[in-house]
Amino acid sequence: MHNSQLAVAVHEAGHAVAQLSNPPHPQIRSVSIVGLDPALLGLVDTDAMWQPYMATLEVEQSTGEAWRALAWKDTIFYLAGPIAELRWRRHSRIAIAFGAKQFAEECFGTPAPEGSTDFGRVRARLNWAYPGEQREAFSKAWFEAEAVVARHWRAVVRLGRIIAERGRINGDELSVEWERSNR
Amino acid sequence: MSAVAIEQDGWAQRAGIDRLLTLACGRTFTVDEKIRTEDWPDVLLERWSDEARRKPGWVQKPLACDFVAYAYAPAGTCVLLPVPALQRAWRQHGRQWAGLYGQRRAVNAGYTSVSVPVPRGVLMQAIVEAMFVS
Repeated sequence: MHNSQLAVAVHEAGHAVAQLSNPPHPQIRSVSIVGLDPALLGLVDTDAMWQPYMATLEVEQSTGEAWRALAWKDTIFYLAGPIAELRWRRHSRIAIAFGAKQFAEECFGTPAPEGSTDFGRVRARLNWAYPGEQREAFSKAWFEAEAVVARHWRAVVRLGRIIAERGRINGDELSVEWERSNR
Repeated sequence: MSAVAIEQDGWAQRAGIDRLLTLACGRTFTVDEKIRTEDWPDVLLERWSDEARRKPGWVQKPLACDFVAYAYAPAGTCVLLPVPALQRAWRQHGRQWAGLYGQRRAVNAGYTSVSVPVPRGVLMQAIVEAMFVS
């Protein structure tokens, strides 16, 4: 198995585990690293909780708070992937945590990341949820996502290996393997 | 010096070793990494990893690592705690610290861990004193 393929699989497993470990969450239909659009290395096929239309509406404060919570959950989901990959690539937990400011700059600096990338999606959510405090919010989310990946690291690696071996697993298979990982 | 992350789910990770440092002379040190996501002025010493089942936390169970690297992520600072001296300091002062500084419970899925927040200066002083043997 190619090492970079395994790194991509661990990246996707990081996303998946962040979602599975924080219910309630949208269903994950599949996780794939093969048969994808050439622009994509891997994909966790699931629905985002925060949607761009939410940024266009004027709503009551309580609804806004609920949507902010959804944007935050999405942010943890998106950041867990690159963090898992960094850890797989042998960066220490501390080095990853200390990199928060640098990655915040990557996310909110210029040039802006592509909208369809993990950082692009994080940028959209935090720009909306924490205007003027995006970088601070990014660091907080980065630390939280790092802690999620660390807490479930054995499961992330195990699922990453399974995804790398099979190329694609569906939601039911993922649920079974997630439960096995937690026994 | 080289630093190697322990990535497999082998004995090393279960024993709490995240990183293996190898000096040029060949001597190796093992390090467990702990991260604090807020810049609190204390070190959280885990007394019980599972309070109900009375499973000891990392400060009072045998640890395979030589150092605990305890990092404060927002400040980007880290203290490197030598495990034997740290655990000796805990044996000497742990009960008193729990009474003085209280205990913090973290409720997780199926278990609750209990830690004691010891001010950094107090802990470092106690570690230094723990190195004196009379």
